Amino acid sequence: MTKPVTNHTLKVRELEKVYHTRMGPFIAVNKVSLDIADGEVLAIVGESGCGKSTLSRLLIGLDQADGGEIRFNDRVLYRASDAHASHRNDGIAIVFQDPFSSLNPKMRVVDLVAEAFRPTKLSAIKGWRGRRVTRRKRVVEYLNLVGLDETHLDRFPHEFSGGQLQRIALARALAQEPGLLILDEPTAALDVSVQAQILMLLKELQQRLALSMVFISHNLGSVAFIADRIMVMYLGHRVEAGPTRKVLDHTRHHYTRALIEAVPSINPHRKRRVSTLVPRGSILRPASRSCVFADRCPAATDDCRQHAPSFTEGPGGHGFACFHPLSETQP
Amino acid sequence: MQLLAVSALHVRLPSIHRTVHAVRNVSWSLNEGEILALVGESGCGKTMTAMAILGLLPDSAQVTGHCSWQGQQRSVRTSGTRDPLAAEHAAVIFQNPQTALNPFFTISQQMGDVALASGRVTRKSLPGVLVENLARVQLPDPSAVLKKYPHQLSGGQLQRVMIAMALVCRPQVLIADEPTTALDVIVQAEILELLRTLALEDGLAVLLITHDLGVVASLCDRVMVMYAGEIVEQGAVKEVLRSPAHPYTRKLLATVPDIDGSRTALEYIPGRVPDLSQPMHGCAFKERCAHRHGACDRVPIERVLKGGQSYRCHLNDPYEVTQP
Amino acid sequence: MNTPNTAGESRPPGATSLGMSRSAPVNLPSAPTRGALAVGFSVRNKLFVFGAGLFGLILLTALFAPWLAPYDPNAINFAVKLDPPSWTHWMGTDDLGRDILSRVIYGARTSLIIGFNVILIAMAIGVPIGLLSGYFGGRLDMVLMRVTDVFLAFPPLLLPIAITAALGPSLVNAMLALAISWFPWYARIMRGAVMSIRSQLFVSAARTMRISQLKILVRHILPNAWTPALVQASMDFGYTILAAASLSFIGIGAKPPTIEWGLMVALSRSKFLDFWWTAAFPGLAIFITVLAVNLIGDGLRDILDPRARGV
Repeated sequence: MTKPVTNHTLKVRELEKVYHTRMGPFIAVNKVSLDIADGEVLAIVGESGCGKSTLSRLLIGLDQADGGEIRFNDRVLYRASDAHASHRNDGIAIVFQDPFSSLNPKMRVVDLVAEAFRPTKLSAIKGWRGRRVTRRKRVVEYLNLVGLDETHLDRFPHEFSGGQLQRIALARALAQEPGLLILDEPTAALDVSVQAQILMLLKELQQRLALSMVFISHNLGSVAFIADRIMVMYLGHRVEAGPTRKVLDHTRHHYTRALIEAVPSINPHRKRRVSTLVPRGSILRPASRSCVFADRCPAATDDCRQHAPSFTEGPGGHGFACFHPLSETQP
Repeated sequence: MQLLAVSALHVRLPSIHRTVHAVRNVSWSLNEGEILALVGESGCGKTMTAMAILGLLPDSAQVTGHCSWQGQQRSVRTSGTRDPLAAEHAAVIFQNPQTALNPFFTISQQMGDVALASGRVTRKSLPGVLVENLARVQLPDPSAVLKKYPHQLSGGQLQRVMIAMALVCRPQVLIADEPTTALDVIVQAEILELLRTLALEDGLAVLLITHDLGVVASLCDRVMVMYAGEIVEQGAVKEVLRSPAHPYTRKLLATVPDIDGSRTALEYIPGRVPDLSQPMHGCAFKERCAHRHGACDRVPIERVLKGGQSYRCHLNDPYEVTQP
Repeated sequence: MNTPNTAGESRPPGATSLGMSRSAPVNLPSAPTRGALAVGFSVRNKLFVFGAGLFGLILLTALFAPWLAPYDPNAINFAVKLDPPSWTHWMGTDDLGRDILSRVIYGARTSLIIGFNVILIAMAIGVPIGLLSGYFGGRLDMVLMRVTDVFLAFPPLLLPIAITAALGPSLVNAMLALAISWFPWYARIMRGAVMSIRSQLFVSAARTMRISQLKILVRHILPNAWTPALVQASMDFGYTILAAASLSFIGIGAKPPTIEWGLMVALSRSKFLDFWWTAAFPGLAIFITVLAVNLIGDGLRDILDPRARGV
C-alpha cells in the first residue's frame, strides 16, 4: 500500500450552486466555505434538501459550481473566474449512499475495483497474463483492506448483501488512492448492525491510512462517532461549524439544537424535549434578505427577518451564523 | 383492554427454488392505548408479521395462525383478500407517503374515497369529517390541505395526511410500518409526538414496525425483538433497553452510536442471518452468538423474568451475559 | 395457491396473550413440493419452450437440408408435373415437376440467412446510433434522431420496395433495403434504454473515477442497455422473413434459381386455385417459422425484462 502524501488539504471558499427552476433560481449551496486538514474528518450534517449532497457533487466534479473556489492540495479545482475550467478531481474519491445502484450490476468485483486503478499502474508489466495476475493480486489487497477476500473476486454485485456491497464500493474508492474520501450517507441504506460494521471499518481505515474524509450524514450518532469537526447546513447555508464535541455539547445555533433534540436516543437518561420549532411550510424558500432560519426559529426577532447574520468564527474554530445565539454555558 | 391477540403465526413464501419460512410461530397481543414496537433488521419478518394479519401478503404466501380482534376469533387468511374484521379494526400506514398517494387526485378526493368506502361516513358529513381528521393530526389549515395535490405537500405533511386517512375509518389499531424512516429527524420527532398523542388521548393502539432502537426508546411502551422470523425477546421498553436478556438484543443495542460520543468502538454482529429456507436446528442466533454452548442445538424455551420481560435463550441468568 | 393448513387449524387458537411459549418442535404445514412449482413455472413458459423447439427443428432442417431432402430441389421432371401430395412426393410437385418438400427444406436456409443478416445489419447501424444519441444527447442526438426519423416516416414496406427498386432487384439488395428500413427501431429503443441507464448512479460513479467516455459506453452503458434491443431483434426476426417473402412475392427480392418460400408462393400465384399445394406448403413454412420466432421473442422478453412479466 502506498503511503498517502502528507499535507492534503481541501479549501473551499464561498462556493455557490444555483439551479434554475420554473419557479425561479434556487440556491442549493449558498456561499459555503470549509477547510479540511490532512487526516481530518469533517461531517456535513443537515436535513434533506439542505445542500449537503449537492456540495459533495461539486467537490467531486459531477456538477459545476456557479461561484467561489475549490482548492485541493494547493491546486485549483474550480474557480469562478476560470470559466468552464475542467474540474480535475484527481485524488478525490466518493462512496455513494446506495451501494445497490452505485455498482454496475453486469461487472465482476475484480473489474469493478480494478477499474479504479490508474492506467499507469499496470502498463509497466509485460504480457497480459502477468498483468492479469498482478491486477487480481492488487484487487485482493484492497478487498482485504475492507474485510473481503479473494473468494469474492469473480462474483457479481447481486450476490452480495448491502453491507458487503458498500465494502466493495469502499475498496474501489481506496483503489483510487485518494487524498480525500467523500462519503455520502454511506450507512443510510444499511441495517443497524451492518451500519456499525461499516462505521467501525471507516474509523479503522481512517486512522490506519490517515485519510481525510468528508462524511455526509443526517445521523448525528454516527457523526459523533467518526467526525473531528461538524458543519451544519440549512437550506444551502452553513449555519454552524466547529469541533464535534463543541458543536454538539455547546451548541450556539437554534437549528443545530433542534436537530440534536430531535434525535431519538436509546440512552434512557436523555430527556426527550418537544420541538420548539415553528412548523415548516412545504416550500423551502426563505425570504431573500432574512436569516435563512428566521421563519422557524423560536428566537427570531424583526432583526432576523430584515438582515441575514454573517458566519462568525469564535475561539477554537467554532463558528455560527446567528444574531441571538444560545448561551455558551448551556448544559 | 386487549384489542388484538395473534397466536402461532407462520408465514411461508414459496418460490421456484425454495420456500422461505419468513415468520415462525409468532404470538403477541396489543392493548388499548398501547404503543408496541416490533424491532428487527431487514428480512427478519417484522413486516410480514403485520401484513399477514391484515391479509396484505401476496397470494402465493402461505399463512397459518390465529388472531382475535376484541375476542372474536379468526384464523388468519391465506389469500390476498382482506379480512373484513381486520379492515374494521385496523388501519395501516407505510414508510413512503409519496408513493402511497395518487399524484393525480387531491387529498380531499383520496381521503373522501377512503372515508366513504369504510361505510362509517355519509356523503353529507364528509367534508366535516375530513377537516376534523386532518385537524387531529395537527395539520395547520386543514381545509387548504384538502384542496392540494400530494406533490404540493412535504414528506412530513404527507405522512400526517396518511395518518389522518387511516384515522378516518376510526380504527382501534394502527399499524405503522417504518412510518418515519423516509423522513428527516426533526419531522420524525414531530410524527412520533403525534403518534404518542393519539395513543394517549384517543386510546389508539399502535403497532410500530421499525429498525431504529432510538425510536423505540423515545416512543414505545412495549417492544418485541424479532430475529430470523422469531420473536427472541419482548417486554416493557424500559426493561428491555436497560437490561436486555437475549444476546441478540444486547448486541443490537451495542451497535448504535450515540450522540454523546461515549462510544469509541461499536460492537457488531459477526456472520450473517441464517438462510430461512433451510430447516432451523435449535436456536436461530447460535451461529453468530458469543455465548454459544452445547445446549444451543436444542430449541430454547421462553424464560420469563420479573416484570413480564421474556426471552428465548438457553442462558439462565441474563446478567451472566453482562461480563463476557 | 391454496395451502392445506390443517396443522394450524387443529391447534387450539391462542390461549396465551404474550405467549411465545413453545416447548415442543412446531408442527408445520407442508409446503408444496419443489416439483409442483417447477411444473407451474414451465407451464407459464411452455409456449417459449414450444417456440424454441420449433425453431431448433427449423434450424436443423436448414443445416441438414442436403441429407433431409428426398430429391434435388432443382431437378426438373415433367413426368410428375403438378402432382398432388402423395407417398412419393409428400407435398406434391410444382409446374416444373420439382419436389415441393425438398424445395421447402432448402428454402429454410434462405429464410434464416435473410432473417439473421437483416437483423444483424439493422442492429449494426441502429445500436451505435442509439448509444451515441442517448449518451451524449444535445445536438448530436438531435441530428441522429432527425436522420432516423426520415427513415421512419415511410410506410413500412414502401421504403424497402423503393430502395430495392433503386439498387436493382436481388436478394442481397432486398436484405440491405430491409435492414435500412429497420435500423431506426433499434436506434430508438437503444436510445431510450441508454438514457435511463445514463442517469444511474453507477455511471456517475464511473465518471468520478475519470474513466474515459468510450469505456463508460462500452463497459457500463451497453451491457445494461442492450436487453430491449435484443428482445426486439428476436421479435423482428419473423417479420423480416415475412417482409423478404413479400418482396420476393412482388418480384423484387429473391430471383430464381434461389429457393425462397415467398418466391415459391409468388410463382404459384396463377395456379393456386387449381393446385393448392404449390402455395400452401411454402406459406405454411413461413407461418410456422414466424410463429416460432415470435414465441421465442415473447419468452425472451419475459425472461430478460421481469417488469413486463405478468405474474
